Amino acid sequence: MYKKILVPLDGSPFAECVLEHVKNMVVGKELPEVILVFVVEPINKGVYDMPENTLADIQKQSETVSAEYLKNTAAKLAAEGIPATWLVLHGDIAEAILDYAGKNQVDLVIMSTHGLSGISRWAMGSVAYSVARQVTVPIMLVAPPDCRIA
Amino acid sequence: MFKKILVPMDGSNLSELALANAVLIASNFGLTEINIIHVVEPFKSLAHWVSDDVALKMENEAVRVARKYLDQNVEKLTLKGIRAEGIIAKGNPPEVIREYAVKTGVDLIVMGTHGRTGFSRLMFGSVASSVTHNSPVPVMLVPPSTSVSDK
Repeated sequence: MYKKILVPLDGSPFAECVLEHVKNMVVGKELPEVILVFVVEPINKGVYDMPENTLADIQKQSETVSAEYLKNTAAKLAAEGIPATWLVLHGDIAEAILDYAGKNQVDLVIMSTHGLSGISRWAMGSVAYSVARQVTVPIMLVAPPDCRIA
Repeated sequence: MFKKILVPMDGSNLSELALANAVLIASNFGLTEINIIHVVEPFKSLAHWVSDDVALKMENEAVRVARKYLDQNVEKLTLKGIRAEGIIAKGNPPEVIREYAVKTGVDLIVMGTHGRTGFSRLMFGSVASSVTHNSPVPVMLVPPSTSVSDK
Protein backbone atom coordinates (compact mmCIF):
# COMPACT_ATOMS: atom_id res chain seq x y z
CA MET A 1 0.00 0.00 0.00
CA TYR A 2 1.04 3.62 -0.13
CA LYS A 3 3.66 4.34 2.47
CA LYS A 4 3.94 8.10 2.44
CA ILE A 5 0.88 10.24 1.70
CA LEU A 6 1.20 13.98 1.20
CA VAL A 7 -1.88 16.08 1.91
CA PRO A 8 -1.67 19.76 0.94
CA LEU A 9 -4.24 21.89 2.77
CA ASP A 10 -5.13 25.55 2.45
CA GLY A 11 -7.34 26.05 5.47
CA SER A 12 -10.59 26.01 3.50
CA PRO A 13 -13.39 23.51 4.20
CA PHE A 14 -12.99 22.23 0.63
CA ALA A 15 -9.39 21.29 1.21
CA GLU A 16 -10.28 19.75 4.54
CA CYS A 17 -12.93 17.46 3.09
CA VAL A 18 -10.05 15.47 1.58
CA LEU A 19 -9.36 14.25 5.10
CA GLU A 20 -12.29 11.84 4.71
CA HIS A 21 -10.46 10.28 1.79
CA VAL A 22 -7.17 10.24 3.61
CA LYS A 23 -8.98 8.14 6.22
CA ASN A 24 -10.23 5.89 3.40
CA MET A 25 -6.70 5.26 2.23
CA VAL A 26 -5.32 4.35 5.62
CA VAL A 27 -8.00 2.03 6.90
CA GLY A 28 -5.83 -0.90 5.98
CA LYS A 29 -3.34 -3.34 7.24
CA GLU A 30 -0.45 -0.99 7.82
CA LEU A 31 -0.53 2.70 8.59
CA PRO A 32 1.22 4.92 6.10
CA GLU A 33 3.00 8.11 7.02
CA VAL A 34 0.58 11.01 6.50
CA ILE A 35 2.14 14.44 6.06
CA LEU A 36 -0.07 17.54 6.12
CA VAL A 37 1.44 20.58 4.46
CA PHE A 38 0.47 24.21 4.15
CA VAL A 39 2.40 26.44 1.77
CA VAL A 40 3.04 30.02 2.84
CA GLU A 41 3.56 32.14 -0.26
CA PRO A 42 6.00 35.03 -0.22
CA ILE A 43 4.19 38.37 0.05
CA ASN A 44 4.45 40.49 -3.03
CA LYS A 45 6.09 43.62 -1.74
CA GLY A 46 5.53 45.56 -4.91
CA VAL A 47 1.78 45.45 -4.62
CA TYR A 48 1.50 46.58 -1.02
CA ASP A 49 4.57 48.77 -0.71
CA MET A 50 4.85 48.06 2.99
CA PRO A 51 7.89 48.61 5.14
CA GLU A 52 10.29 45.71 5.49
CA ASN A 53 9.52 44.97 9.15
CA THR A 54 5.73 44.94 8.55
CA LEU A 55 6.25 42.37 5.80
CA ALA A 56 8.38 40.29 8.12
CA ASP A 57 5.65 40.48 10.75
CA ILE A 58 2.95 39.35 8.33
CA GLN A 59 5.14 36.50 7.12
CA LYS A 60 5.77 35.41 10.67
CA GLN A 61 2.10 35.61 11.51
CA SER A 62 1.14 33.52 8.47
CA GLU A 63 3.56 30.87 9.63
CA THR A 64 2.25 30.85 13.18
CA VAL A 65 -1.36 30.65 12.04
CA SER A 66 -0.73 27.90 9.49
CA ALA A 67 1.38 25.90 11.93
CA GLU A 68 -1.41 26.13 14.49
CA TYR A 69 -3.97 25.04 11.87
CA LEU A 70 -1.90 22.05 10.78
CA LYS A 71 -1.26 21.06 14.37
CA ASN A 72 -5.00 21.04 15.11
CA THR A 73 -5.81 19.12 11.94
CA ALA A 74 -3.13 16.54 12.73
CA ALA A 75 -4.59 16.22 16.23
CA LYS A 76 -8.05 15.57 14.73
CA LEU A 77 -6.62 12.78 12.59
CA ALA A 78 -4.64 11.37 15.49
CA ALA A 79 -7.84 11.22 17.53
CA GLU A 80 -9.23 8.93 14.83
CA GLY A 81 -6.23 6.68 14.98
CA ILE A 82 -4.28 8.13 12.08
CA PRO A 83 -0.93 9.52 13.10
CA ALA A 84 -0.02 12.51 10.95
CA THR A 85 2.95 14.80 10.88
CA TRP A 86 2.72 18.35 9.53
CA LEU A 87 4.93 20.99 8.08
CA VAL A 88 4.83 24.51 6.71
CA LEU A 89 6.46 24.96 3.30
CA HIS A 90 7.45 28.17 1.56
CA GLY A 91 7.26 29.51 -1.95
CA ASP A 92 4.97 29.01 -4.93
CA ILE A 93 2.27 26.57 -3.80
CA ALA A 94 2.41 24.04 -6.63
CA GLU A 95 6.21 24.20 -6.86
CA ALA A 96 6.66 23.71 -3.13
CA ILE A 97 4.33 20.67 -3.14
CA LEU A 98 6.07 19.12 -6.15
CA ASP A 99 9.50 19.80 -4.72
CA TYR A 100 8.65 18.23 -1.38
CA ALA A 101 6.98 15.20 -2.99
CA GLY A 102 9.95 14.65 -5.29
CA LYS A 103 12.59 14.88 -2.59
CA ASN A 104 10.86 12.85 0.11
CA GLN A 105 9.71 9.62 -1.56
CA VAL A 106 6.06 10.57 -1.27
CA ASP A 107 4.06 7.87 -3.09
CA LEU A 108 0.59 9.41 -3.10
CA VAL A 109 -0.75 12.96 -3.04
CA ILE A 110 -4.36 13.60 -1.99
CA MET A 111 -5.75 17.07 -2.53
CA SER A 112 -8.88 19.04 -3.30
CA THR A 113 -9.25 20.49 -6.79
CA HIS A 114 -10.72 23.67 -5.37
CA GLY A 115 -10.11 25.82 -2.41
CA LEU A 116 -12.73 28.27 -1.33
CA SER A 117 -13.13 30.31 -4.48
CA GLY A 118 -12.49 34.00 -4.01
CA ILE A 119 -11.09 33.59 -0.55
CA SER A 120 -8.69 30.76 -0.98
CA ARG A 121 -5.52 30.90 -2.98
CA TRP A 122 -6.52 27.59 -4.56
CA ALA A 123 -9.37 29.20 -6.44
CA MET A 124 -10.46 27.54 -9.68
CA GLY A 125 -8.37 24.46 -9.10
CA SER A 126 -5.31 25.90 -10.77
CA VAL A 127 -3.04 24.75 -7.96
CA ALA A 128 -4.30 21.17 -8.04
CA TYR A 129 -3.99 21.01 -11.82
CA SER A 130 -0.48 22.34 -11.95
CA VAL A 131 0.49 19.75 -9.35
CA ALA A 132 -1.36 16.98 -11.25
CA ARG A 133 0.34 17.87 -14.51
CA GLN A 134 3.84 17.59 -13.13
CA VAL A 135 3.73 15.17 -10.22
CA THR A 136 5.51 11.84 -10.75
CA VAL A 137 3.39 9.76 -8.35
CA PRO A 138 -0.36 9.05 -8.27
CA ILE A 139 -2.49 11.97 -7.18
CA MET A 140 -6.03 11.66 -5.89
CA LEU A 141 -8.08 14.73 -6.73
CA VAL A 142 -11.25 15.37 -4.81
CA ALA A 143 -13.66 17.79 -6.45
CA PRO A 144 -16.25 19.97 -4.69
CA PRO A 145 -19.32 17.76 -5.35
CA ASP A 146 -17.82 15.28 -2.96
CA CYS A 147 -16.76 18.07 -0.70
CA ARG A 148 -20.00 19.93 -0.24
CA ILE A 149 -20.19 21.90 2.92
CA ALA A 150 -23.33 20.98 4.76
CA MET B 1 -13.88 2.69 2.26
CA PHE B 2 -14.04 2.41 -1.49
CA LYS B 3 -16.52 -0.29 -2.47
CA LYS B 4 -16.44 0.10 -6.21
CA ILE B 5 -13.48 1.39 -8.22
CA LEU B 6 -13.81 2.31 -11.88
CA VAL B 7 -10.74 2.03 -14.11
CA PRO B 8 -11.11 3.38 -17.65
CA MET B 9 -8.77 1.35 -19.87
CA ASP B 10 -7.68 2.12 -23.41
CA GLY B 11 -5.09 -0.58 -24.02
CA SER B 12 -2.11 1.57 -23.06
CA ASN B 13 0.60 0.54 -20.61
CA LEU B 14 -0.43 3.48 -18.51
CA SER B 15 -3.97 2.19 -18.08
CA GLU B 16 -2.45 -1.06 -16.82
CA LEU B 17 -0.44 0.94 -14.33
CA ALA B 18 -3.67 2.62 -13.25
CA LEU B 19 -5.26 -0.80 -12.83
CA ALA B 20 -2.30 -1.91 -10.69
CA ASN B 21 -3.00 1.01 -8.37
CA ALA B 22 -6.67 0.10 -8.20
CA VAL B 23 -5.65 -3.48 -7.33
CA LEU B 24 -3.41 -2.16 -4.58
CA ILE B 25 -6.32 -0.26 -3.04
CA ALA B 26 -8.80 -3.10 -3.57
CA SER B 27 -6.51 -5.67 -1.95
CA ASN B 28 -6.08 -3.35 0.97
CA PHE B 29 -9.81 -3.28 1.63
CA GLY B 30 -10.65 -6.83 0.71
CA LEU B 31 -14.23 -6.42 -0.45
CA THR B 32 -13.70 -3.81 -3.14
CA GLU B 33 -15.05 -4.47 -6.63
CA ILE B 34 -13.21 -3.22 -9.70
CA ASN B 35 -15.05 -2.27 -12.87
CA ILE B 36 -12.93 -1.72 -15.95
CA ILE B 37 -14.46 0.26 -18.77
CA HIS B 38 -13.42 0.78 -22.36
CA VAL B 39 -15.17 3.51 -24.30
CA VAL B 40 -15.49 3.06 -28.05
CA GLU B 41 -15.73 6.45 -29.71
CA PRO B 42 -18.11 6.84 -32.65
CA PHE B 43 -15.82 6.23 -35.61
CA LYS B 44 -17.27 9.23 -37.40
CA SER B 45 -15.98 11.55 -34.70
CA LEU B 46 -12.46 10.38 -35.58
CA ALA B 47 -12.94 10.22 -39.35
CA HIS B 48 -16.10 12.01 -40.42
CA TRP B 49 -15.62 11.25 -44.12
CA VAL B 50 -16.22 7.50 -43.92
CA SER B 51 -19.55 6.00 -44.89
CA ASP B 52 -22.00 4.82 -42.25
CA ASP B 53 -21.49 1.12 -42.93
CA VAL B 54 -17.69 1.43 -42.79
CA ALA B 55 -17.98 3.32 -39.50
CA LEU B 56 -20.23 0.63 -38.11
CA LYS B 57 -17.81 -2.10 -39.19
CA MET B 58 -14.92 -0.29 -37.51
CA GLU B 59 -16.90 0.16 -34.33
CA ASN B 60 -17.92 -3.48 -34.24
CA GLU B 61 -14.30 -4.47 -34.71
CA ALA B 62 -13.27 -2.11 -31.90
CA VAL B 63 -15.90 -3.68 -29.65
CA ARG B 64 -14.68 -7.18 -30.51
CA VAL B 65 -11.05 -6.34 -29.69
CA ALA B 66 -12.04 -4.45 -26.54
CA ARG B 67 -14.15 -7.39 -25.33
CA LYS B 68 -11.14 -9.69 -25.53
CA TYR B 69 -8.89 -7.15 -23.84
CA LEU B 70 -11.33 -6.51 -20.99
CA ASP B 71 -12.02 -10.23 -20.52
CA GLN B 72 -8.28 -10.88 -20.16
CA ASN B 73 -7.99 -8.18 -17.53
CA VAL B 74 -11.09 -9.34 -15.67
CA GLU B 75 -9.61 -12.84 -15.59
CA LYS B 76 -6.36 -11.52 -14.10
CA LEU B 77 -8.32 -9.70 -11.41
CA THR B 78 -10.46 -12.74 -10.66
CA LEU B 79 -7.31 -14.81 -10.19
CA LYS B 80 -6.23 -12.26 -7.60
CA GLY B 81 -9.51 -12.81 -5.77
CA ILE B 82 -10.97 -9.46 -6.80
CA ARG B 83 -14.57 -9.19 -8.00
CA ALA B 84 -14.35 -7.58 -11.42
CA GLU B 85 -16.47 -6.63 -14.39
CA GLY B 86 -15.54 -5.39 -17.86
CA ILE B 87 -17.79 -2.85 -19.54
CA ILE B 88 -17.79 -1.61 -23.11
CA ALA B 89 -19.64 1.60 -23.82
CA LYS B 90 -19.97 3.85 -26.85
CA GLY B 91 -19.70 7.60 -26.90
CA ASN B 92 -17.53 10.47 -25.76
CA PRO B 93 -15.10 8.97 -23.19
CA PRO B 94 -15.25 11.60 -20.39
CA GLU B 95 -19.05 11.82 -20.61
CA VAL B 96 -19.52 8.07 -20.68
CA ILE B 97 -17.12 7.55 -17.76
CA ARG B 98 -18.89 10.15 -15.67
CA GLU B 99 -22.34 8.82 -16.52
CA TYR B 100 -21.32 5.27 -15.65
CA ALA B 101 -19.78 6.39 -12.35
CA VAL B 102 -22.97 8.19 -11.32
CA LYS B 103 -25.33 5.47 -12.48
CA THR B 104 -23.59 2.54 -10.84
CA GLY B 105 -22.43 4.09 -7.58
CA VAL B 106 -18.70 4.04 -8.27
CA ASP B 107 -16.84 5.73 -5.43
CA LEU B 108 -13.37 6.11 -6.90
CA ILE B 109 -12.04 6.46 -10.45
CA VAL B 110 -8.42 5.48 -11.11
CA MET B 111 -6.95 6.39 -14.49
CA GLY B 112 -3.77 7.33 -16.34
CA THR B 113 -2.87 10.97 -16.85
CA HIS B 114 -3.02 10.45 -20.60
CA GLY B 115 -4.14 7.91 -23.12
CA ARG B 116 -3.02 5.99 -26.11
CA THR B 117 -4.39 7.53 -29.26
CA GLY B 118 -4.25 10.81 -31.07
CA PHE B 119 -2.00 13.81 -30.68
CA SER B 120 -4.23 15.63 -28.20
CA ARG B 121 -3.96 12.69 -25.84
CA LEU B 122 -0.19 12.85 -25.70
CA MET B 123 -0.50 15.81 -23.40
CA PHE B 124 -1.91 15.72 -19.93
CA GLY B 125 -5.41 16.85 -20.28
CA SER B 126 -8.26 15.94 -22.53
CA VAL B 127 -9.82 12.81 -21.08
CA ALA B 128 -8.14 12.82 -17.66
CA SER B 129 -8.74 16.48 -16.93
CA SER B 130 -12.25 16.41 -18.33
CA VAL B 131 -13.14 13.45 -16.11
CA THR B 132 -11.56 15.14 -13.09
CA HIS B 133 -13.36 18.42 -13.71
CA ASN B 134 -16.79 16.85 -13.81
CA SER B 135 -16.35 13.88 -11.54
CA PRO B 136 -18.81 13.38 -8.70
CA VAL B 137 -16.25 11.14 -6.97
CA PRO B 138 -12.51 11.36 -6.27
CA VAL B 139 -10.24 10.67 -9.23
CA MET B 140 -6.80 9.18 -8.81
CA LEU B 141 -4.54 10.12 -11.69
CA VAL B 142 -1.57 7.87 -12.35
CA PRO B 143 1.41 9.34 -14.23
CA PRO B 144 3.72 7.22 -16.41
CA SER B 145 6.62 7.63 -13.99
CA THR B 146 4.83 5.63 -11.28
CA SER B 147 6.08 2.30 -10.09
CA VAL B 148 3.83 0.02 -8.11
CA SER B 149 5.05 -2.04 -5.21
CA ASP B 150 2.92 -5.07 -4.50
CA LYS B 151 3.47 -4.88 -0.78
